[in-house]
Amino acid sequence: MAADVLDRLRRERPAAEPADAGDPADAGALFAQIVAVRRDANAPRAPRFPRRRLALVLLAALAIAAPLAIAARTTHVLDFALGDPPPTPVVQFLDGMLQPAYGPKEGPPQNGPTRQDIVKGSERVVAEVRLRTGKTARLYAVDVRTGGQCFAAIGGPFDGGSCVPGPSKWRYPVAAAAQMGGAGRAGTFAKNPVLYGRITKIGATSLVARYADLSSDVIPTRNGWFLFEVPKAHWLRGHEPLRLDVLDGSGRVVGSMKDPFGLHPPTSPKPEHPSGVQRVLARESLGWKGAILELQSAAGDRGHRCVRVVNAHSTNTGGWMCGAVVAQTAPVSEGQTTTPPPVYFELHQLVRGATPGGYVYARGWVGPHVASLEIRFQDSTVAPIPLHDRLFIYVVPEAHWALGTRPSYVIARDRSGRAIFRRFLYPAAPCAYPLGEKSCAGRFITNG
Amino acid sequence: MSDPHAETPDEQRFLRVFRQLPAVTAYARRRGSPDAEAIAAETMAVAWRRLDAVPLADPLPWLLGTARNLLLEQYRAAQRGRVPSHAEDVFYDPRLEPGGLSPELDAALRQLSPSDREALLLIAWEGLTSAQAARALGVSAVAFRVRLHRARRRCGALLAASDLRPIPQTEVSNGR
Repeated sequence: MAADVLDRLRRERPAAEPADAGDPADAGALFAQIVAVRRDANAPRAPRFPRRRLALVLLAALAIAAPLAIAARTTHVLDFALGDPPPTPVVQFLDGMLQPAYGPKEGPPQNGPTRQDIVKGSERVVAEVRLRTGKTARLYAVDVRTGGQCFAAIGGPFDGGSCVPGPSKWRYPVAAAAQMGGAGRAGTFAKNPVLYGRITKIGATSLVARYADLSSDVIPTRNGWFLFEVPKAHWLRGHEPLRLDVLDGSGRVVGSMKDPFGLHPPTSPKPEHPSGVQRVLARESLGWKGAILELQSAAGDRGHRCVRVVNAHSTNTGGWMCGAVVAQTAPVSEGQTTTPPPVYFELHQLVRGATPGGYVYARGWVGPHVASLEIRFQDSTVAPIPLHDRLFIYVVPEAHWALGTRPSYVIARDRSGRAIFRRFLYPAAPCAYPLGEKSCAGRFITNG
Repeated sequence: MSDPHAETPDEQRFLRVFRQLPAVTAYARRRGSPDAEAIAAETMAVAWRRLDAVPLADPLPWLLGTARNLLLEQYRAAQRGRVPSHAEDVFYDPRLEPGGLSPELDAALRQLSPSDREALLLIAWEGLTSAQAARALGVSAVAFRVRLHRARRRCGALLAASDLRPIPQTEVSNGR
């Protein structure tokens, strides 16, 4: 039946033949009438909006634009559009300030932005100041894809910079970095000290430097950015900057940064030292010029246990670690209450660039719930790591240096044999094994 | 239709479009427009203003699409202030046509959705190919073929259902 539908429609087509279109003379007149109007004068008109619709559109636009404008004002996201582009060396400096990116299998996850995160072309001058030396220092900023910005002060005592995450993630009211042109003389803490950075507190509008002599200076800011040379009178100790206060529009202090030049670091507690008999818990050959690796233990002078790993080949071996770091319950710092991972695992190596030969070993400790530890290789073989009073050292055999056979996981098991910890060891990390690869020329790695 | 006089190159290009005036007028009339000539004239005026957008090799689909929009605009202007049961019903009103349709076909077309109905009528009444009709409706050729297939099947089912309807007893007795 469906096939007949079109035929039936054609048969019953209403009579409205082209002949009904009218007199040909009328068509000619219509043609002349249409083309008499210039085409460009009759370009399609913009649709006319009734007043009510126009008002609604304006209201909607206002509802969207107003919060955006306020956010742009407070977060300074438009700074880049307002500044001047920097010269090429500055772009290179900002680029070099960040760590190079590497692949997900070439090392642990990278914290902070990498060079790949830089938004090319967003580099701008955001502040500048004329120094006492007569030179002009400029503050440059660049946007990063992970949020926030990196900035660099160029032309001060020396070039330097820093990065800050986006305002919503930043818990400090101001991101400030300091430069000092050499050690101070005759009672001064520094020569030509400079402060630079940006206000990160939302809603804050101004910045004040408070000095040790109770005086203060308002630091000029431009869209939250600042580059400030400390006045010479405040280079003297006793008059140095002690605090940066961030103020809102009403002059209320909404945040502070203490000791911007790091002149008054907090005192650290006196470290614990080993005392009494030192015991050797394990001894392994590194397979390199007869060197021996020893795991040693001793009692601390405050009752804790102290441990160290001695590498007879290296002078870079870490010293004693005492106290709660290797306490009975968990390897945590004193006063720390968070639960640490059940295994602390470090991989150390000696890699001599393109020259083959060296060593790779692991060291660390495990938590109280770990009954056994094993290392798994890329070729699916597994080797146990002996535990000595919850401490261990393990020398990676030369047979497991080549890519495809390298250590890939460390796995901890409880008494029932259940895996309670597993960590990827990034076997593809370049130049991590002493194979003497040409691509590792110039990369001498030794970390104990 | 004798060729009107075209002087400039633009007018000569437009003339190729303008030759479709009778087909556009017939289209507007078959869709129930009380002023088909005005719709066709306005369609041509739009084509002149937007001559660069008109495919000169085959302008009819573009013109029918424009005429359809103008008819819809005319219908909306007429219906403003009222709530129509279906905005596109005006595009098929056989009562305005001389001769009319058979009641079964009339009923079947009225039960189709406007898009299905237009797909059928562009092929059957306006004589377009599937590709031309797709351009007139602003859809892809594949989408149009699917729509046409669906419309033919639905319309066929509606006509078949009307054929199976019992004939009223009075008519039977009258036939004897």
